[in-house]
Amino acid sequence: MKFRQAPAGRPAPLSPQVFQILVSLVDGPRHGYAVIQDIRERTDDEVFLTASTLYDALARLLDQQWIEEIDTPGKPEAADARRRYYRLTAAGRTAARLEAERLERQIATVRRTRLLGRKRA
Amino acid sequence: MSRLHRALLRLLPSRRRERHGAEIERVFAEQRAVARPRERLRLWVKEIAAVARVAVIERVPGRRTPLPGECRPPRIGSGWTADLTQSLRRLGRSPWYAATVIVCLGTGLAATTSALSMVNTLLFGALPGIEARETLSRVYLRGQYPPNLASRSRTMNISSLGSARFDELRTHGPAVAALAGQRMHTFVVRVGGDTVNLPGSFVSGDYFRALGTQPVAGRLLAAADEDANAPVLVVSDRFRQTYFGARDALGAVITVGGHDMQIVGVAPARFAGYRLSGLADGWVAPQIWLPLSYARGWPGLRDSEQAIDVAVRHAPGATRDAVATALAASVARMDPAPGRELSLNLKPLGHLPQTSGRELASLVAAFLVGPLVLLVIGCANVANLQLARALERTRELAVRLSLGASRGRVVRLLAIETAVVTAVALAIAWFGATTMLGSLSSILPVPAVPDWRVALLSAAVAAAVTMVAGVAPGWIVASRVHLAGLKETRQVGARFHTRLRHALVVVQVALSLALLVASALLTRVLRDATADVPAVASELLVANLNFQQSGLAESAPAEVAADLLSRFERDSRVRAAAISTATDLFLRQEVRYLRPGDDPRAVRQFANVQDVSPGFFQAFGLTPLTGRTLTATDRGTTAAVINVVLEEKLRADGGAVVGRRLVLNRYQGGTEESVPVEIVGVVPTEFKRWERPAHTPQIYLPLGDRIPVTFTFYLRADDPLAWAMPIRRAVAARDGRGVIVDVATAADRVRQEFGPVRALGIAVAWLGGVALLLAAAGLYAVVAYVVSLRTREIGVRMAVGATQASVVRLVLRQALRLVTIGAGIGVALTIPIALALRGMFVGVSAVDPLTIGPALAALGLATVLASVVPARRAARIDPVTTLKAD
Repeated sequence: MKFRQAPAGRPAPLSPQVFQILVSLVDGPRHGYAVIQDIRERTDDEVFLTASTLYDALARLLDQQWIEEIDTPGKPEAADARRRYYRLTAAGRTAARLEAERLERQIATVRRTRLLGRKRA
Repeated sequence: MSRLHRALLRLLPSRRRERHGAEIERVFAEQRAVARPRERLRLWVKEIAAVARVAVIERVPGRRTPLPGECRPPRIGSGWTADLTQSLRRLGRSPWYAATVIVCLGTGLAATTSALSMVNTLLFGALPGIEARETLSRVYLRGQYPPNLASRSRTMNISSLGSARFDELRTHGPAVAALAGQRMHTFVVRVGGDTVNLPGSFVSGDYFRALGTQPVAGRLLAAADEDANAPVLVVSDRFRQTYFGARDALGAVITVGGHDMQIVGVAPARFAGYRLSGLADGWVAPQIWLPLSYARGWPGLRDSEQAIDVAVRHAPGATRDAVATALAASVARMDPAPGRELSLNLKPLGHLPQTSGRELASLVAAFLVGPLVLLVIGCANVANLQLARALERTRELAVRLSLGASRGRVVRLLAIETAVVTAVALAIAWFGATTMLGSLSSILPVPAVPDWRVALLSAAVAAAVTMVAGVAPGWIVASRVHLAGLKETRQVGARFHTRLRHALVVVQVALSLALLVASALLTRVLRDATADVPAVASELLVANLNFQQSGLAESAPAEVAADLLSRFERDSRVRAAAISTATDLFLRQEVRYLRPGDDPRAVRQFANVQDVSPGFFQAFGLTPLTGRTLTATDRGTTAAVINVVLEEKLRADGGAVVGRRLVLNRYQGGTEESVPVEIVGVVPTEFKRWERPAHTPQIYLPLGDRIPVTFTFYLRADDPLAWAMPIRRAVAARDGRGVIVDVATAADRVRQEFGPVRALGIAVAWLGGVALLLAAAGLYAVVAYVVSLRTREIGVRMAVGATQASVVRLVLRQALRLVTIGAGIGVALTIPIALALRGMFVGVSAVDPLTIGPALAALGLATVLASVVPARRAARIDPVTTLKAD
């Protein structure tokens, strides 16, 4: 698998999994299983991660410092001591936003064509 | 399950494991806990794929975690790894497809690998205690049949030599390093107070040197032992363990056939000489080895008998051709019978003389037929599934092509997917074959291990079949789709696809049915042999008497026979007692029978014959169907009783069978004599279901004065085994110390005789069962797949007002129509299969409703299930969703 170097100023597209992980951390820190559940619900089972896929992505995101590991989240009563929680960093938030914008631009270009059909009556 | 997952995670690089291993385990456990049962398989497949991907990628240099700012672009795919990931993901998305394909292929491959490995070991593998098998050859001779014996082929293979011919071989050229001659024999051995019958061999002085055998204790026989006729012998490792245990066997003296002989050495474990053809007639491993010089003048053995097997060790550097040249001179010196030339026939060790002969082919075929059926069925299933899947993927392939993928790239993607499946199946097969051969190793003559070349070969065959099935549709689609046709692919190709789909179902049904019937036939054939022993057998005592090594006068057998009859016939507790000249319950003399007017040179009709005392028919509970049985007054007359099998053959000539005359060409004392007989009665077969006796023509003649050195005494009583000792005592009273008396109930003899067949029957029944399951599963998968492809069409029908029931009916009707066509072809296919099986086994009929019926029923059931389940599922979906989905 070759990774493309992003052209200056414009980030390379993110994989759907990575994008969804970032999005699910936007609202606050979560632990691994919660991330999987959240993504499943939001995408209606379209993006389905297993444990190893998730942690493979998390490891890369940690290395890139887009997310960071924290001991306990804000609300201690909701926390499970055995779990590790992950929080979005500023860089991660930026990356997610840039990706969302990119996707929006893409969709906008599509909407100008008839690919998605006319609005249903 | 957690342990399985933990084991799986061990594939990850250690730094990955240390960092997140525990977390992954916990999260996966949680995922499993909440997953619905049918989701669990999908979860596992995806997890395995993910771990495999990380494990591979993390270990490839330069392909590690991407640098910041880099991420994977969405790709249509370029590069092998991308294709591999795609395939894994795709398989993960349809776990049932992946599992079916892997199980089908895996089962077939495991069975073929085990069976082929066994054949491979026997033909080429290392033999216990024999060094460098490739520089050993078996010496066979080729001769000509005597002109008066009509035969299809004029030449005959001579696999064993007489001692004069063997001595000629001993003078040979320098290309021969050593000769190994062995004469197999069953010895009466007295060891530690027991007298036992043991298989063994007389061996030439150079035997062990030629084979390169190393003793585990003491020394082996050498040329000097043969020259000096030394009273020494070598025993097998098993013999030592059985009769000496922890004690030292070396130097011990045992009595063999009346000679006191000293044990000088112990052969290595499982050493059994070089003759492997014994496998076909039930493996008996030799236990003792004596110098060949003892065979001369051994009681019961004739020196002129052609009984010495010969193997030859090539001199270093000598080719097989050079050895053949060296030995040809010796063969030229041998004395052929007038008009019958002899020539040398040198073969690699383990090969039968008739390498290309029918016998060898059918032996190997019988051995491989079951496993191959499984492999064929597995391949057929996979091929069909692949075809069905390729149809479904038409659109996806078209998208790929339109985005610029070359045709080669699309084909490569499909090929990689097939390769992945085959690789996983092969891994499973390897594990299965290892387990199977491991559990069989104790009953095989040679310890077999799965051979990787064999496994690769069968995997290659399987891969080729599935590859063609998987890739060819891609190719067809690729050549039909144009960029502009992208949106209409389904419509443009609709008719072609419908036809292909239909053809697919028909082919699958035909194949499944043919294979089902084949396996059912095999199972049925062998079920007869494994049937329970009839009541009469448990009341019947069989005593085999052997005077060969007794050293008694020639008249002794007749005297003992008369004595036994008079002693036991009178006892009121004995229901019947009888003498038969057959060596054993199942071992009878074969004769050629001629009807009046038959040309003796052209006729090759054979029947079994035995001379029996009048009580024989009562002992076996045989009442005459027509005519009468033999009585005491028939002694010395030409009266004969036959069984129904022979009667049926004779009845073809028309007219009554009783009263007819036959001429039997019977070998007695080395010469063929003609015996005229007159049929006085017909009896049923002795055994109803046991294969050989129940299907062989039998002739019973009145017992005369001439009793051979081996004969059988039958005694029928309520508690037959209680009579074993009285019989032994009666024989011993005649000074019959050296007479071998083997006593067992007929029931035990049946079990002993048919034990291996029974084991084979069970194995085939299992194979047949697995084949049936696989065939039904394959059919189910294909029909279900084809129905699922019609989801959109069903949606349209529902949208325009079709009811659920009418949709199910529609699907079922169409499926049944295809299945009927397929079944017709399938039934036609079974006939040649049955004919082929009939050549191998007794009692197979070409068209057998009892076999075809259940097979058809199983197939019908699979079809109905396969159509109804997906049709109902499709019919339950909201039509709008169905339509939108496409």
